[in-house]
Amino acid sequence: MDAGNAPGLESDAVSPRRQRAGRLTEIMIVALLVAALALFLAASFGKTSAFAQASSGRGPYFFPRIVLGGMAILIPVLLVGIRQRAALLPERAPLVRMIFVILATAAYCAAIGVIGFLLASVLFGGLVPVLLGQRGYLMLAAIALSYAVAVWLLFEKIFLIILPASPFGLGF
Amino acid sequence: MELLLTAVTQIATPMTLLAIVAGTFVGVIVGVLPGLGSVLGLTMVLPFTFAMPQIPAIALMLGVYCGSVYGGSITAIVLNTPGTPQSAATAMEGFPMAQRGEADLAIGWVTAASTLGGLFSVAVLALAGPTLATFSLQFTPIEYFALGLFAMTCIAGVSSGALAKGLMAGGIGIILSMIGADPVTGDLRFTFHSFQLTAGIGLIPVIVGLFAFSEMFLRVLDLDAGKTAAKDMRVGFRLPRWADWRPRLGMLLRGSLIGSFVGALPGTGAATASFIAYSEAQRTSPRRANFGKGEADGLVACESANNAVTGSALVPTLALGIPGDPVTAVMLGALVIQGVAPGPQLFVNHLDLIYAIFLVLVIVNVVMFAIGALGAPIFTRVLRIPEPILIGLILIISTVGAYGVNGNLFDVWIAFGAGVAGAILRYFSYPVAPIVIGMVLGPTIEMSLRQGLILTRGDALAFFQRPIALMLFIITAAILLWPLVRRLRARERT
Repeated sequence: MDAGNAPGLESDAVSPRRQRAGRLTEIMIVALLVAALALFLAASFGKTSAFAQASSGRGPYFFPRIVLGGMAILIPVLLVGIRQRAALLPERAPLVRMIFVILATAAYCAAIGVIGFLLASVLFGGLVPVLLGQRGYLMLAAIALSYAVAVWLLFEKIFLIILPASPFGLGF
Repeated sequence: MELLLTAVTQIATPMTLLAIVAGTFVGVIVGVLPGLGSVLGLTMVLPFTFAMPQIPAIALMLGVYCGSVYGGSITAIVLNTPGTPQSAATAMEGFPMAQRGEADLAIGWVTAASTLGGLFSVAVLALAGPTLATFSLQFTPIEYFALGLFAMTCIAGVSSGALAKGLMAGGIGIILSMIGADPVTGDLRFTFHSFQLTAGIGLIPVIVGLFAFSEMFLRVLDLDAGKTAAKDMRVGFRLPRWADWRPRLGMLLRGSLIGSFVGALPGTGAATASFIAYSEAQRTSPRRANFGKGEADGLVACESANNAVTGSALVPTLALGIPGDPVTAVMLGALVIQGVAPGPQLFVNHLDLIYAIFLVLVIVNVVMFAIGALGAPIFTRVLRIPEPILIGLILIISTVGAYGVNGNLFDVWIAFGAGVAGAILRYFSYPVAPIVIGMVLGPTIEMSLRQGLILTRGDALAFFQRPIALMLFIITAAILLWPLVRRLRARERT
């Protein structure tokens, strides 16, 4: 999938419910953007150093306010765009699968700090294909183990980039 | 001459040569796998460069870059599914050739045209880079501000039909780049009392998240879609005869020129160059009646064009420190990690490094030819790796990429956050490349604006009194307003 692709815009025969859900999600994205803009704009009126105040209004928040202002102008344009053509939400099954993979990745990121890179990667490398419907557990375990060990050896022993270790005193 | 010899000695090390071969090999594989593309390939090898010396690291990145542009054509020929967007035009002639049993010849045309186009672009880089760098030595912060704004117009190019969303994404990128210490006063901005944010948000974790993580998340949605299987098509390599080449040399030169010109423009890239060259070939070729049925003219034109982009896209990146597209933005980030500061001073103070980059590019193109010739049958086998396995493995190596820059787990979370946000944004047709472009160009634009205002004692109108800056402002405005003008004209016609 190319970086510029928009899978949500694929045209097919769709239920109005999916269409409504898509539009609602897009509105939520714009609402989140508005909230983020408001947060950053509010933060731009925070305390600044005496040196910054002496720079006659061209202190640390001079440029950010210009950018935030420009982004605020774009909000109505985005809303008009949603009214004209909104994307569809994905089908339920692939969406659930994607959420599972995202959750597994979050768990992997957390596990790296807890049980170390190697153990976390073996588990994650084996789990993701299973979540995505791949079978042949022995082969998957072998691939996950060999890949994680190869990456760990390459970075720890050859490139000398220290990856997080497990707390069990195993040396990896 | 002495500098050239220094560059040769820097390159003639086993590690650099290994990096070139490995980078090109990985690049071709990344290109062969549909949808992965140059940015993801570069992101995947980033962690390997952290512990490498400067020249081998750059060699690895350039190998991946050039190899991935070429690799996409193999899939386009064999499966009629372009591995990368820049190979889409190749499929139009390559697949019909494969269908009549000439896949090996099509790969031969593509490999030779890619190599020659790539070598042509090295010459362009060698000639245009130093000239542009010398010219830009007279730039003041005002010109850099105008240039930064002009480079931001590449957002229009990568936002295909969603300019407002692209500009919004660019704004997000600029705001992200401002988190942390203000470069002028040292005040902390937008850190929200988080200690981790005082150092700012790193470019590499964001790139890893936006391109690698989000790509893998989105791929999960497409797993059920019926995909063309890599059939047992016999794929090899057969070089076209000189008699077949001779009438197509003009086509090769034209494709290389188009690619070199388009590549140096911000926001265009190899896909645009490839299509322009293809349509130009279709218009001018004496064999135009054969187009769409497997005509080698089309292959030569689009492959020489898309590979000629690789060298010329580096012209503004190296000479001005201004990346023209997401690929060169990632390259720029990798160069900065390696302690190289792209810009005019690079050509003044580190000419040996510049020569080394030129030589590496030449070798990469030659190696690409050898790898293409020897490895064509192997690469098509890569397509048989089940995607669920591939997704897990790419997520693991990408995580190392995010972690390895600073050895910090916070960066892994940044990458994860950027991945989720990137997947949602991309799904709803927000282009994510502008976020990276905004993060790269934001600091340059802000610094030059504030320095320019100090120089002019706060007089913003003085920015328009400098001819080069004024010209750049006018071009920037024209590029941004053009879609609006076109829409108004189209409405008038209807």
